[in-house]
Amino acid sequence: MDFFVRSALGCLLASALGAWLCRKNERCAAVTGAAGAVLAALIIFAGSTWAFWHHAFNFYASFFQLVVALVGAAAAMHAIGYLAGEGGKKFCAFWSFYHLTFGAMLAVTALRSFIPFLIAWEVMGLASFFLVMLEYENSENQRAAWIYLLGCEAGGLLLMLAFALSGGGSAAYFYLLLAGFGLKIGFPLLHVWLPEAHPAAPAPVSALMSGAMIPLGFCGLFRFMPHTSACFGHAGWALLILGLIGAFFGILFAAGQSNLKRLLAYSSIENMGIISLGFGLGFLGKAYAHPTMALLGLGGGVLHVFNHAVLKGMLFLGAGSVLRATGTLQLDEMGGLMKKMPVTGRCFLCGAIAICGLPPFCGFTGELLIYIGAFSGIAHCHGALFAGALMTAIVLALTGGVACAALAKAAGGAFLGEPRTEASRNAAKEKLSMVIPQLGLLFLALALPLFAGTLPDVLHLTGKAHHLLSVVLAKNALFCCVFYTLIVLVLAWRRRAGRDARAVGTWDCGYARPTGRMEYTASALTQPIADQFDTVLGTKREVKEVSGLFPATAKILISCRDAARNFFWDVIFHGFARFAEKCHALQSGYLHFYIFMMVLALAAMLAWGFWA
Amino acid sequence: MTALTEILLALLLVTDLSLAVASRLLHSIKIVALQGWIIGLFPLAAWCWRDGMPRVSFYLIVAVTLLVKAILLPAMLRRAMYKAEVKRELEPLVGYSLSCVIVLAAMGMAFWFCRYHIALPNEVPALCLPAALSTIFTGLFIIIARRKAITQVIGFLIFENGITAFGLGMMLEYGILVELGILLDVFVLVFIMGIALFHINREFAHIDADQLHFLRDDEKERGAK
Amino acid sequence: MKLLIWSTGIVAALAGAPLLPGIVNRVKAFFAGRKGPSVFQLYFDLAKLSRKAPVYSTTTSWVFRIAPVVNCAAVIGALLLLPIAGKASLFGFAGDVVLMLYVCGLGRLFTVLGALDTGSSFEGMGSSRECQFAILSEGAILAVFGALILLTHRVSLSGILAQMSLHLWSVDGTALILVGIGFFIVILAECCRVPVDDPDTHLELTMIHEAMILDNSGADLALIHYAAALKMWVLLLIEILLICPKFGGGAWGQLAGEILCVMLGAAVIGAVESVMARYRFRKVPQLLSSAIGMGLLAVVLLILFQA
Repeated sequence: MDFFVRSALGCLLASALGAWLCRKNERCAAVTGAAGAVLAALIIFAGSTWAFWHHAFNFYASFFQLVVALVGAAAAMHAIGYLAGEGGKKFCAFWSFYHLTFGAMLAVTALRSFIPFLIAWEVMGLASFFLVMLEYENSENQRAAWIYLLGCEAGGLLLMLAFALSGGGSAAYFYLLLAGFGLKIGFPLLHVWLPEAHPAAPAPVSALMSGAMIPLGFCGLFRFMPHTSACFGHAGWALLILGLIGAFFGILFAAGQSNLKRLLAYSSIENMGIISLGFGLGFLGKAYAHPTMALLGLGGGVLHVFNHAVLKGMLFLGAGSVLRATGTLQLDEMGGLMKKMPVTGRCFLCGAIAICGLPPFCGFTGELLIYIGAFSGIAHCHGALFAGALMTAIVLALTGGVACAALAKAAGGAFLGEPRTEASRNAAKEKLSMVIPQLGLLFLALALPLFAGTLPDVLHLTGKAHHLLSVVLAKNALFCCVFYTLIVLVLAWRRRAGRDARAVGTWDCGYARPTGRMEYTASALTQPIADQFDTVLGTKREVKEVSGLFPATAKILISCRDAARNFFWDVIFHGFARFAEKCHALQSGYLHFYIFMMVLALAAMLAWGFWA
Repeated sequence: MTALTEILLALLLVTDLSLAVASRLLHSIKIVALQGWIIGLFPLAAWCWRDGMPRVSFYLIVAVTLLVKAILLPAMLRRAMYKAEVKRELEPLVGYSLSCVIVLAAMGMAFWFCRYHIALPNEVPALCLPAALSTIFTGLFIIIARRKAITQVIGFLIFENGITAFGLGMMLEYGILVELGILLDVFVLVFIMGIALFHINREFAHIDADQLHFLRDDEKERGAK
Repeated sequence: MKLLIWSTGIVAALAGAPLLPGIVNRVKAFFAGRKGPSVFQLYFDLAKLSRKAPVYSTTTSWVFRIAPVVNCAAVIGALLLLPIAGKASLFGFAGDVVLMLYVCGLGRLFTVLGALDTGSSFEGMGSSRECQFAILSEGAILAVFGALILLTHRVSLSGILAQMSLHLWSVDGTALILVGIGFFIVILAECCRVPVDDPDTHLELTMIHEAMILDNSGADLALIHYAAALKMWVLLLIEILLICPKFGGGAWGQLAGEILCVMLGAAVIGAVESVMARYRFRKVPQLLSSAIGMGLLAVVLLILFQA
């Protein structure tokens, strides 16, 4: 742990104490807390800059520290406005646990040996559990927090098991690591806690968790997995397959959600899938000696980690602002917020477009590299490797398509059109402290593609690899500039052509007074997709049909439950519960029976002892 | 791969794919007829004309295959369809997009299987075996995954087309008798199915094969009714 | 010289794109036994629209106003990535296929968001359908280009299309036929033509693309029409370079040949549109997934015959 991380941790500790000391004065406590986080982030930035100049930029440590610091600072600033009016007690709890989480995350990136790492990892999980639990009055939130805690602890247990087994290069060790860190990353089947915890947690915490904490799983995995060719092969295939499933199904479930933050949580699963695709391709390239594919895959994965942190941080903060302004997270109860919250709306819209991986925003650069890695695999590999690369390219394209629909649903449903309810019609104005961090992240999202050309230097590349990567990134930046110019030119033409515009109501094909209630709802927007993939999504409908000449009420309620939870975990846990219920018969209450059981157990152990 | 045989076989694969997504009865029957044409013309394309003219029996098998597969059977199916006044939709048990994916996956498997597990003599077109296997699988899939009795006949025809393609590719010279035998089988089968369909339709007012299980002797069910 | 030819091609595309819908309509009129509008009709329409003052709904925000602009810029950006007359694009690089696909996706997403911004139920319906079909057509494009990358071992658009030759056709013709058909289906879907969408329909319930722009007017509408025509040019040019790659007569002859072939391609679309009925909505995903299937089938064939 270097000097910078230590001083950042100290700074966080001091600010947590400061926030506790001035708990009577809410405003003062908030500013102290946020200032501590921002200061810590600045220290980390300084540290990475220093490391960069002294060629000591350690990817595992410095890069992930940068990600954590960025999101941590932005979320802390947002929290000032988000938590305003929550009362001193909660405030105190929030800031101490927030700083604990933040510090633990920094420690996770910096620690290199098993036991301290594991301690930091556990502290990170536990502290964030309390943050998820912050709004404990709601029983749903409590449930979600418990699920999150279960996920964390199961992951920790698997890691301990892996470290206990630590013979090093064995495959079992690697797969235990994969499962343990996978619970944090949210690989398919292991993701169940994500869509529960994110809607329950306060928005800054969601942003921190989704943007920075989940990808730390990758950090841990890469640090502790053996760096041998055989292990790269295992890791490559595992990450590729998990990525294919996670990316496509994650975004499919996102398209089915009508809760804004749940939608974003599923989108995180998708993005983790895309990152795994990149790393998977990279490791396969390393294992099978395809340096181009290795470079592009790993580079794409790394870039996407950063982009996802920036964008998902921005989106979750935006969702938090919306929740504070309207009091709801249901997309079908929002609408038309762009007029009430112009800055948040702009940030959210740009973030939504960027997270779909569309140019000229930053989300595209990472995906582009992964795509090119897949292409080089298609062009130069054979057999299973070829099939993997081809599937990567096609699944990425399909994922991108669904992502557009899902994020159009989120951005369009919340911010565009007419307000659908009174709550969104009377939405509160946005607060400055909540807007500033989003603007900062938006700036990064726009600027990153233009400066992504430095990535080869950051990764210490030389020669051919450096050339390849920098050409792609520079051409991409060039195209972004051309694209901006084109937009400006077209805009200028339209300005000349379209003077004296008139404003009237929406035409809506002859309806005299279209209202918000007649709008296409956000759920309806993705309904065709949900129908098309109904076999997977298994949406449930409750319909009350229109009947009679003067129908009084009619309604349709569509919900999309998590398939992994429904068809896998619930089945297992219920089966286990039934089994436990059966075992209950053993507790008969007769002492003789208990002794008999003990004798039986003793005999069985003896038999086992002799057998072995 | 631009030889005529390869184009025909690729066309066969495309017809398999379009059968998986075809949603109308008449459309399916037309595609099956197209498959009949492909299979029927295939020996002509595969023959090495440079080495001399084939025997008369060769023309015979082409003529019979074309007559039965491309004209007679589809015509009978069409007639059965009109006679039985079936609804013209296929009523799939497995959705069309999923069907497409499944058939594609099966094709991939067929290619993989033929690539690594079967050594073929050189004169057999490389595409022949995978195309035949894919067609056979498509036929089976249609039998399993579509509801109506008449689609099961169609599936059976596709299945048989696959077998013929297999036979044509593997034993161009000696397969005539086997071929004719199979053709006769199919002919009789379709004939019987046609009659059965007609009668089932008259008795039950629909020909959904998945309703047939109500005919079984099940005391409990009968009691419940 | 190279740059001159390439930029001439770009300018020709920018100037000539509005001809394509005119040609399509003329062919359709021919099939229907009518005389039909002038080939230059879209030019007149564009001129008229750009002179008119636009009308904006009070519901809309800046998204609605910027959507046509971004869409148009996106399509022009995609055009800039194409190789023309055998000259590689100025902005091309390894993997620019993705950039082209995604920049078109950006245009589409903005159109969808602009439609949602009006709050009109019909426009919502249109955008919903557009989103659904876009998923599969993007997958189909990637499947098709996967086959092409495997075939040519190049990863840039310019590189792939430069490799197309008659020799390639004589060796891998079957796969190329499949690729060509698959991409043509994509063109029909992306340009909103029959059997996916009917540009002539006037029933809001059945429209896709036209439903999304019901509220646009004036210069905005002109931009949208122009972008649609230009997109057709871009996609047709790619298809032409796939199918009929080489013409004689040096670079200028090649350029003229390509332009003529794009016009011919528009005529083919018109013919397809005249003889086919539009599919039901449930049927369209099947059409597009069969395009994906064609691409994958081509890949399988290529693997089988390359070994």
